[in-house]
Amino acid sequence: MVLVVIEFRLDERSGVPTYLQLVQQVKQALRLGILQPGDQVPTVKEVVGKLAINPNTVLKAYRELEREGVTEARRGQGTFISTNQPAAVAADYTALRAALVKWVERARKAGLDEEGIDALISATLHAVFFEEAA
Amino acid sequence: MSELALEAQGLGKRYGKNWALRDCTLGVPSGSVAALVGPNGAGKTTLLHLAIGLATPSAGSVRVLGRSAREEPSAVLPHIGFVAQDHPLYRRFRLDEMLNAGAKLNPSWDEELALARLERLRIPLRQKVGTLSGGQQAQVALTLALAKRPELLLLDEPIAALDPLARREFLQSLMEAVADGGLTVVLSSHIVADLERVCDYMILLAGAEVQLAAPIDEIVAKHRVLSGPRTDPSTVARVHSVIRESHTERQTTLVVRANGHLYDTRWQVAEVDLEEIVLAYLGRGSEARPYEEVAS
Amino acid sequence: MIWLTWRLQRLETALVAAALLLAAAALIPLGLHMAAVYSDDGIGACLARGGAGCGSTVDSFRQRFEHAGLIIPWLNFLPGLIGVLFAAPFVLELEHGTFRFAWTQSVPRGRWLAVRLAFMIVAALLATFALTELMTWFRGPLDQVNGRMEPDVFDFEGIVPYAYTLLAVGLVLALGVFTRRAVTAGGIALIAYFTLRIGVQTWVRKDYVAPLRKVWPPGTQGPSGLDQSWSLVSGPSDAAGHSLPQSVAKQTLMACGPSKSSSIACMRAHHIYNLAVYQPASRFWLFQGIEAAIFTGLAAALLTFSAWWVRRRVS
Repeated sequence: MVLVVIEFRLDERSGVPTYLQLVQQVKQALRLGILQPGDQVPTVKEVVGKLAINPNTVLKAYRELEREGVTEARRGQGTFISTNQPAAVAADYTALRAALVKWVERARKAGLDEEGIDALISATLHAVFFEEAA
Repeated sequence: MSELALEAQGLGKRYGKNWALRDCTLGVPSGSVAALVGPNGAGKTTLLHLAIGLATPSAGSVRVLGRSAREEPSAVLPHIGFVAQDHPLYRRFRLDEMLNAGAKLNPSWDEELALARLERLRIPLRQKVGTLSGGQQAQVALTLALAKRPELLLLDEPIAALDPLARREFLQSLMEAVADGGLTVVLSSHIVADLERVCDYMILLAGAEVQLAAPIDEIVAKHRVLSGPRTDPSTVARVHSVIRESHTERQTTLVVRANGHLYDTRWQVAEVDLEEIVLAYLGRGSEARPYEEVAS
Repeated sequence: MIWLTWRLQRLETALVAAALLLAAAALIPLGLHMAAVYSDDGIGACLARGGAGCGSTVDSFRQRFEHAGLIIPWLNFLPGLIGVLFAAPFVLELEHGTFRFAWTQSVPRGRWLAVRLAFMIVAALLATFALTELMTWFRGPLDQVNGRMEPDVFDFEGIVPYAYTLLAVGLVLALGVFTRRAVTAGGIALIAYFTLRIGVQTWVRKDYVAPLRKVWPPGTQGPSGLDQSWSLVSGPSDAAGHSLPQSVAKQTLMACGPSKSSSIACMRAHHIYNLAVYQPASRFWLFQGIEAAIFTGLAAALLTFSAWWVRRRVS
């Protein structure tokens, strides 16, 4: 098994709590195939050694990932991506992705630039999920 | 290991007529990384010196790892790492001689740990300490403190004089040491921004008194900024503690510490980041009552 | 702690050794030469026999090595320098804040202080020992001829050099714990050291015990051992022992003519006597003890103050 080291980034201005950013980045890496089931995620020490953040933050993130079933801790060895992924993360979204690319091209032809597309998507997302919550 | 790595009760220190620190009561839980924040002259160094036994209290008491460092130095000092302001080192010494000094002055000394750290930091052992850069000297001082395998680490403005890269490297180093486990850290600074991602507990000193002493999560959760049309804050002040109020012709902005829920629809409520909270406390002057830790 | 103390004093020890070597290099060749001439001319044997007939050889020896005495006053600063150099590293610790490192390892403050002070004092005393031995050896022949009660000889022999060094150490430490600046403390300490030394040497030492006073008519035998004593006043006086102004004596001498026998009878006729006020050589150790007690007492007070200040007041 090859040790893959995912590089975490921290966006201090985003308003998203640090531990949540780490959780999201692990999930994102999984989606993009950077991390595969069975891979080891960096140790707490490695993460804080790069990011200079409190180890408890990393522990909190890893606990959350374990709770969601994305990772599992193996005693004495470290934390690994679960081989049984919850469906939401493991699914292959190739078809959806292709459809999205087509839509983006349509939006461009309609005259929207990148910012405009981004704004449209954000507003739509907000509307859909907000309405769902309401 | 006791529950509170650092504990003070009514601690005060007077030099002549001036109280450098007064009425200081706080407890830093074991395993925390605590920020000791405040403007220059607020009493941060005094607090640390009292804790480590360099100074004796004029009032009250302070205990580290459950004991008094001044009264029982041989029992306590081997378990506490301390780096004074400006990280004093013997400048004429070579680095290996500096390590030797540490080894000779302490009953337990992890030479391998020290060597491994210095190697990772790529600081040559035969170099004279005085010729190292500020960042390197700070790292060396930290290495010497960590080689004692302490349970508590007290750092007085360790990164104040460092450039951003050196600062980042120092904090990376420090966090790795914390990740190894069994370590409580108290580090002082007059800059808040550096410490927010590293610390989970904050002690705010201003005007020689403790303004805040609580876990950072709790601080951020309890403070809010209220903005609304210009008005008298007394209704709000009846329930919550108003830390700072500011008014324009048409608008009033309040930073409050919430005691309960904020129901009033007149106000727009938003979260405040740690730096703003600190500034609010620093701005209100010493005549206000200091924060008291809320019993959990 | 021992290794650390040595390592911190290493440079200063080397400097002191260098200063002592320089002094030795200046004094040893001349000292050997003096000793050779002294024995070749048989001065020692002559003085041992009674000293009466040795006058001319002794006088020529004195004249020949008069210049040797000129170097010595300059070496008065050496005990002061020794004290300053050995006490400086301690003050440097206060200046650079490294004491905050030393006191927060596992060694209690009291032990640190005891070891540093002991080392400093022992090293300073050893260096003073070397210096004193060197000077005493060098002065050997001259001491036989001129005695060792005179200022700038007295100061280098016996036990007073140790007291001087201790005073210098005490001054540097006391000033150092106050100012926390090594150069300032060292500078002011040296000034204070010289002031005290010169002050005592010039005005206080001569009165430790009331000096002896002898008046005798010219031509007769004066008190014995005057050569080896510390002469405070020497010259013509009246019968009651009051000093005559030089001008009066000169006038009388002119009037009495140049030849020896006639001038002696002439001076008797004018009631002019010889006066000597002096401290005899037999009081050497008494004076050494008194002066050493003064300086050591001062040093002890300063050292005690410094130790107390460091233990109680430094943070």
